[in-house]
Amino acid sequence: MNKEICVIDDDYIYQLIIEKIIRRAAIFVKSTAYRNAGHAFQRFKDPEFPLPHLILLDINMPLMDGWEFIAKLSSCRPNLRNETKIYIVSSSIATADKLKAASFKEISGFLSKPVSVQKLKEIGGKI
Amino acid sequence: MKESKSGFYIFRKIFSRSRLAGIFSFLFFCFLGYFLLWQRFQIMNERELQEMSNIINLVENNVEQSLQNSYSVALSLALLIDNEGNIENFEEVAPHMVDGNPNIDVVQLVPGGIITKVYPLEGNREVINYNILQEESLKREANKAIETRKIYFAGPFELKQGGMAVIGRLPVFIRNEFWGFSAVIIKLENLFRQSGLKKLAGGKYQFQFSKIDVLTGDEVFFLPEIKNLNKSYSKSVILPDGDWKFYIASKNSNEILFLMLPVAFIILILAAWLGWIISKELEQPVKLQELLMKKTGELVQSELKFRTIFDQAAIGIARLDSISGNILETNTKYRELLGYTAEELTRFDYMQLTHPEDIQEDYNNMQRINSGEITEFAINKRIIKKNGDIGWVKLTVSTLRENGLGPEEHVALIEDITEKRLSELNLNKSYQMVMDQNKRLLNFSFIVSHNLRSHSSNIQAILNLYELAECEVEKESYVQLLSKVGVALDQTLFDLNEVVTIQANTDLVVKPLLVSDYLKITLDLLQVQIQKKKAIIRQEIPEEMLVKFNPAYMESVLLNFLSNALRYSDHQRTPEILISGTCEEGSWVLEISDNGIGIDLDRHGKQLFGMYKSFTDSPQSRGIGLFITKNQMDAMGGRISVESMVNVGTTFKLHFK
Repeated sequence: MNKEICVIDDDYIYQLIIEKIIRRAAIFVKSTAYRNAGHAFQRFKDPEFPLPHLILLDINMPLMDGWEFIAKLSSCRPNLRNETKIYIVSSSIATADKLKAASFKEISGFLSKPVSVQKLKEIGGKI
Repeated sequence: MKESKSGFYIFRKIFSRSRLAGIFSFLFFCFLGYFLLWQRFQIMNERELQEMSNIINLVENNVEQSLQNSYSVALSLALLIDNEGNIENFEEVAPHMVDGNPNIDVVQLVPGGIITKVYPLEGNREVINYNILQEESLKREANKAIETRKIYFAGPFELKQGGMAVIGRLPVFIRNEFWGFSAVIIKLENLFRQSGLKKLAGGKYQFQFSKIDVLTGDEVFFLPEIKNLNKSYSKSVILPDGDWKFYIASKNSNEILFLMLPVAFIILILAAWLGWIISKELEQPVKLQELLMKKTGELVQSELKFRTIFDQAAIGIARLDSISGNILETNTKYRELLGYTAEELTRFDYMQLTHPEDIQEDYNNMQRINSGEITEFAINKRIIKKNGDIGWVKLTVSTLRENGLGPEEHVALIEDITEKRLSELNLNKSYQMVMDQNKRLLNFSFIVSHNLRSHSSNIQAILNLYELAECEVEKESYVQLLSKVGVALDQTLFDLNEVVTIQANTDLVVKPLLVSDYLKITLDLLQVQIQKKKAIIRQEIPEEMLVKFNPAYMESVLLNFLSNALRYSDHQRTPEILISGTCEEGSWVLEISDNGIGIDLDRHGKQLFGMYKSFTDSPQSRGIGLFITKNQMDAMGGRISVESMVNVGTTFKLHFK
């Protein structure tokens, strides 16, 4: 199975780290990264565009934050829930954020940074 | 003290005016009643005497009449005697005289004192040849007739032939020679009958009939009825022809007195009753007056009590006219609170003493109370004192007096709550301040944890990878990554430090700063960027624009806004920045307007001043500048407002305290 993963996070260092973790997990054949949610949305909003199997999404980002990204994408792709698994990955440990994440049916889970190789393998394995 | 008082009271009670008046009126009515009674008694007495006198007079007349008749008979009889002393035709004439005359019973001719002729002979035979001049008991009276040469009625005495009678003896003289008597006998009962005594007196009076004894000169009574003749209740008449005396007296001389006794008793009762009534009548006002005095005393006491409460009350009290709202009366505290004198206050209505902003509420409540919707209300309002100070009071208004139509007067209570209110306001301010601070701290702690955590999680992740690294080259790359995290962490810590510095610094130097001076310095600093962007800077800062601010903050704030304006300029047009200063409601407002890319306030408005909130892709945009600026303005008591339109421009307004 050709599993694809996408990371949307504005943290440049995190991007470098997660890239290595993905490589270490070795269950994804393709990995894409966006430091701007808006750019990712532009790419994903076309319903014809095949979404990656797993999206790791940050919340706090300039211009478009994680919530906005999901809301917009959901309106463009009503079947979003079945097309991809979206995990919130945030350095936030605030309960409010976790609760908010739980209220989105499109969100499959909430992960606090740092994401370990083990965790990634576990999530990736479910797909 | 008490005893003497009660003693005096009893004295007063007994000899109170009303009682004295009662006693005097009792005496007066007694006197009046008895005087009238006495008058009446006198009149009745006089009338009785008059009546008795009339009766006696009648009796006298009748007796005289009778005696006159007897005299006539005696004279007629005497005419039967001729000059020689011989008696002629006695037997023929005498019956005519006696039988036709009811006044007399018997006639006699007594020549030389010897009764020779008697008519009627029947029943009188014994007296024939009886010499009366030889009889001691008769001789004196007979002689009296001879001496006086007039008829003289003797007796009454017991007749020789039986029965009581009087004898009228007419002495007969022939040629001046005593011849004898012509005598007429009237039986006593006949005489009384003739006198009309019984008839006249009825049962009311009693009579007595007396004669002065010729021998002894004593008065001899012939009737048994009257035992003690009290002269004041009798009337007597003296008949000289017989030396007789008739007495009349009331059978019961005390009858009038007895008649009057019940009346006297009634008068006594009546006078006592009148006295009592008068005393009571007089007592009534006295009692009423006493009651009035008592009540007045109580009222005065009560009034005094309430007056004291009113005057000494720790809250201000005023009476108000319901309709006009005029102040009618105030207490000391009320005047103290407002600083006006009592006289001055009566010239005000409540609205003139109320802060303009609170008049409406007060007025509305007064309208509601006047319409009867409510009977009282309590509000907090501001008053304007005489010296112009404004004080806070708790006002309670309630209806004091009503007429049929509605409330007439109100009582307003004002309690000075200025200090309470001020401390309340201060407390609110402090609370707001603490809440703001708390909010900021919470925000800050969140920022700290969030931003530091992003670094720590990165470090953790790198170290995990490091442990899993299979070759030195890979390990080396992680160390390099780690050093990048270190730099970023350092930057974050620096930013946080700056924020902490602002928020912790509560006693910063604040002094009046000329905005134009600081603007000049800032623009000098930005000279390079301005030239690079070819930006047009327009300044409209009044020379006098002087704000109280910390100098370093002023530089920081101006630098932040101006560099932002330059940084987020639209590449398609020449940047234009307008810096102007205006005075709004006594506070200075600095306006920095650009024609840059603008901010979507609908999306980012809430986060605009948040830490690490950036709204562009620019790597220079770290989301720290506005955050710090905002904090600095907050610390100086100012605020920032923003207007922006995407692709048109942004205007920040700095409102200085």
